[in-house]
Amino acid sequence: MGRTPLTSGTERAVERPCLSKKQEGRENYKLTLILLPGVAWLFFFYLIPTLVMFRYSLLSNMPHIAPPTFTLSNYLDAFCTTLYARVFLRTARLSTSVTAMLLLSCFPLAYYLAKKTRRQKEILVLLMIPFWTSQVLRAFAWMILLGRSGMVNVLLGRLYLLTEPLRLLYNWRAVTMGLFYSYIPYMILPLYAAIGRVDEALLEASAGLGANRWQTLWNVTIPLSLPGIVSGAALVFVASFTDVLSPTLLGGPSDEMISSVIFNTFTMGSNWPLGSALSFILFAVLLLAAALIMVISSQVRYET
Amino acid sequence: MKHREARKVVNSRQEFRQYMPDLNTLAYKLYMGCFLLFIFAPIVVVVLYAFNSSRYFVWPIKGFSLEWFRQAWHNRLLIEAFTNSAIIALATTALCTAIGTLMSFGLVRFRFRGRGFLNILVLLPVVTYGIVSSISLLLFFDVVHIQRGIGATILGHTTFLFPFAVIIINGRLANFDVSLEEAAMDLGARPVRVFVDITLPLIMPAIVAGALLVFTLSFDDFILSFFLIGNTNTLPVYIFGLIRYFMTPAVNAAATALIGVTMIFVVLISFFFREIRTIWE
Repeated sequence: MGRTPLTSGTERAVERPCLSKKQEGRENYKLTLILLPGVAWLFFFYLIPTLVMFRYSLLSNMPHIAPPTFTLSNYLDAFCTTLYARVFLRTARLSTSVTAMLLLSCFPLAYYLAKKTRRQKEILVLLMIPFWTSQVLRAFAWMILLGRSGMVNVLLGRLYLLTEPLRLLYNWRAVTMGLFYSYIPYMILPLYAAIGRVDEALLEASAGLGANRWQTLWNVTIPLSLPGIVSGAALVFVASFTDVLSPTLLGGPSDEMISSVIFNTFTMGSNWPLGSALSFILFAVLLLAAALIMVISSQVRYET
Repeated sequence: MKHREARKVVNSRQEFRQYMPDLNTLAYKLYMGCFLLFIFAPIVVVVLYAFNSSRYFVWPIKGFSLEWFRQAWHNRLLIEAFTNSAIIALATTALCTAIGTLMSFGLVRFRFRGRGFLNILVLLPVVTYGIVSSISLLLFFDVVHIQRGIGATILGHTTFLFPFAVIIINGRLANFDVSLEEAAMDLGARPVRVFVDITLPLIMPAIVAGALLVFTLSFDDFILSFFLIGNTNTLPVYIFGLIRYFMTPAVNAAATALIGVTMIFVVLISFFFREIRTIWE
């Protein structure tokens, strides 16, 4: 590799000895033209709506009922009511357990895909097929499967394991199942990519130096695939934290997660300002999580 | 001497492994098989009930019937929802591809003040995609008096899906050999000609992959459409309404047709698989 083939245009532009004022002006003009649609779009349809939501969360009541005043009471309600604290805790607990379950069950799969088989591409395409269908349909499928006389109940009954049908649907187990099923790709793909990058020679060296399979796994494979583990876990955690469909369709009344509470506030309830406050808190949590993940993953990458 | 001993150890290990791996890979294969079964079972069940002659979701299924397909076909609301979804997905894809390609070009090829900020800003919609973004857009459209409906939904989808296109195209552009463009320019091609003849064909796979991803995400989106579609329906929103209160196998029939279409898409997408994968890395 004598020369680096992958110099990007930006570096070239910087290296270029001297740009005349006129040329520079033209570059700027071009740049503005290229970036304008995207930036304007983000400004009008992302930043401003977020601000509108924030403003709404400070209102004392719905604007079309009575002229509202600005207040912090919605945030006080959100933070001080045990109901919402409990919902937040439940959401965190469910997302954490789903993340842990997915990590444990998908790691062997990703390892098998990355290191043990030659038909990676075929298996991956096969693995992804169910996830190209709509999330609503997937939740629906679990409703059918877990129903009172659904397949799971009937098959278990036929094995004489049950005397009467189990109540499988509309509880937190069904919600966990739905979340677990929905976010399998979010875990498998980053793990697969990370494990695939682990150098085979290092694994052989580890074995050659006398480490057994588990020692190699624990001391070589897992540390080296940490970036994939972090990003997979982060994706699953954030996605299940904000999931609406699993708790609304598969959960019962006592299995509300934060996003389904917001969902219901806006569809059935009419306290939009409170809903906006909850939504803005969720927004802040998401940003914080994303920032944290970025910091952790950059750190992880430096260590390896 | 030492070297030779080490060799011996390795050899004996390899001999040992010759017996062991079979059991090992067998376990892996068994696990993989079970996992695939687990993944496909729900989809297969949805399809099976579409052909069931009974209207109840009881296992085992009773008998074969195409009744539900007929009902789905004659359900005007369902067809309307499907048409809406298709229109929204097509328009969103066109917008996202155009905006995304331009944006990615600016982000990768130019260095300017605020580039780092813009790089993060473009990722934010991906992070907050879901209930939060739907609520903010719902309130925004309410405040500026934009009528909810197909148009509003397209605007919403584009906001949150064009960053996906940017991410995918960025991956391709960053690994782009600029010397090809330089060669073309040295040979006297004008910038527009260079873009059309050299750059565009080379990043085309990424653009197509981005478009396919955006189309699928838009077509399957539930939460944004639910809040922005207003009086009419998109397919996921309609199905959500049906299954929440009243389950009918006509949904399975529609779903089966959709799964068929999706399969075709998956085959197409797997051609551009490399690009899709960059999003996870």
